[in-house]
Amino acid sequence: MERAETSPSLKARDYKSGLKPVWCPGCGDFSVLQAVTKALAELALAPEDVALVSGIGCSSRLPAYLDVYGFHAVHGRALPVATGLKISRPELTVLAAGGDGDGFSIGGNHFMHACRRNVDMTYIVMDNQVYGMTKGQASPTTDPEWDKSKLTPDGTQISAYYPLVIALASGANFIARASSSDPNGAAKVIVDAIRHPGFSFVHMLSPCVTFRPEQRLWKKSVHPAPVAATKDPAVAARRLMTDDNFYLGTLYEGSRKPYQPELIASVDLPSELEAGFLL
Amino acid sequence: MTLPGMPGGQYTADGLEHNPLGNPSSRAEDHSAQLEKRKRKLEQFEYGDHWASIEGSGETAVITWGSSCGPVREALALMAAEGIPTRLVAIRLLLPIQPERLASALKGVKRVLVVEQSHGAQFHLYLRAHYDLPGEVKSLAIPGPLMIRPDAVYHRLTHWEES
Ligand SMILES: Cc1ncc(C[n+]2csc(CCOP(=O)(O)OP(=O)(O)O)c2C)c(N)n1
Ligand code: SF4
Ligand SMILES: [Mg+2]
Repeated sequence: MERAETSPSLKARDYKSGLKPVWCPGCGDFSVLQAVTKALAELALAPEDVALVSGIGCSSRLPAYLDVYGFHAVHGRALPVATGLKISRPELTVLAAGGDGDGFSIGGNHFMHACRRNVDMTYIVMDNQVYGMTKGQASPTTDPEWDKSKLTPDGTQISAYYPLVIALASGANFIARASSSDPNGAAKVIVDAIRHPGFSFVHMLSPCVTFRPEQRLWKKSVHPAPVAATKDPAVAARRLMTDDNFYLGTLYEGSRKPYQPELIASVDLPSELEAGFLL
Repeated sequence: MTLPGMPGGQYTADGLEHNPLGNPSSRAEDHSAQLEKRKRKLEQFEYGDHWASIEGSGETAVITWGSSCGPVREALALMAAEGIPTRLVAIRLLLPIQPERLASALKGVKRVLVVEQSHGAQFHLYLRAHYDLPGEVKSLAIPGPLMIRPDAVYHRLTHWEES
């Protein structure tokens, strides 16, 4: 991850592409975009040295709104693409982003193994406890009693998935929660996540104001964690037992060695890359 | 094209429909333009001889594809051992279609057997929809999971009139 921080003059807005987001007015993802650009400016990263890979969903539309190298991949597959990119181009700062459906339903297995593999990158999941893009179905993080989708008129009645618990159990090296209601705090968490070696997971609370309008109140429910991050996974696990899902800040900073296989071949020019596809 | 790390070349490779700049777009014009572009890319790509494996000669040809090529080859070896030359056209490129190439591969052919591992003879119907196959055309379609056996192909070729 040790990348030259070379662009001191760039402001947060310089990392935006200028494309107007399609999100609903009030969607939490606007503030996440804000937080990511603030973090990149704080780290003074050259935009060309940053790559953002996403899956599919409202939240996964993030890459086109940033002026970095972006890849809008297939549903649930942001992490394998980002993993491949990072291990073949370790000098890049690689970010992956997406939603709770993308990352924990269809991409759930990738999430677990990305934590375990511990490649040096940062994964931001914008959790709104719903499939926003497909008009409001329950996701793994949805409360079992939530009955506002026609698909689950009595709620899912299946207990919710706890991303931080899974991340810790699977071996993520950095685990934090942030909220779109506090873009500055979220930016700080993203900075720390990017700086920390290995797989960093940022659980980003980001309301879907259209299908979960009650989430507008999340900004009143969130509160900073009363204790500093721990380096001890056992302590982190105990803290998670009393987590109310609204504690913000960094929970865990591990010291596992990131996975980075030895590079076998590299391509410097696009023409060399294209040549590989010729018959 | 630029690669990550090249200054000023940042873009998003978007899986959604996009405009020529790569920005997501739901406009009908952009969609049509990109469909045409993708079609052009596929059609103008030079596939060379890789579009099919063409082996042997004779007035009977077997057209097949994929995993059925192996047993068909074995069947044609049996035929050759008996002095009955038979052609193999094992198509690798299903789309875009290659009408001139297939016509030249089948020049002088009077009988065509289309061999495929399927229940509905989809490959046969696909070929009939897109190509003018010469002479008498028959289909040997056998569903999985058991592999097509060389003797099934051999039997069909040597008992042509029975099927
Ligand atoms: C393979 C595949 N399956 C299903 C879909 C339909 N689909 C699109 S987005 C989505 C869920 C998105 O939910 P989430 O990741 O939480 O993103 P949000 O829209 O809430 O930000 C689904 C199921 C798809 N695009 N591709
Ligand atoms: S549907 Fe929900 S998640 Fe999607 S843009 Fe609108 S508010 Fe945001
Ligand atoms: Mg969601």
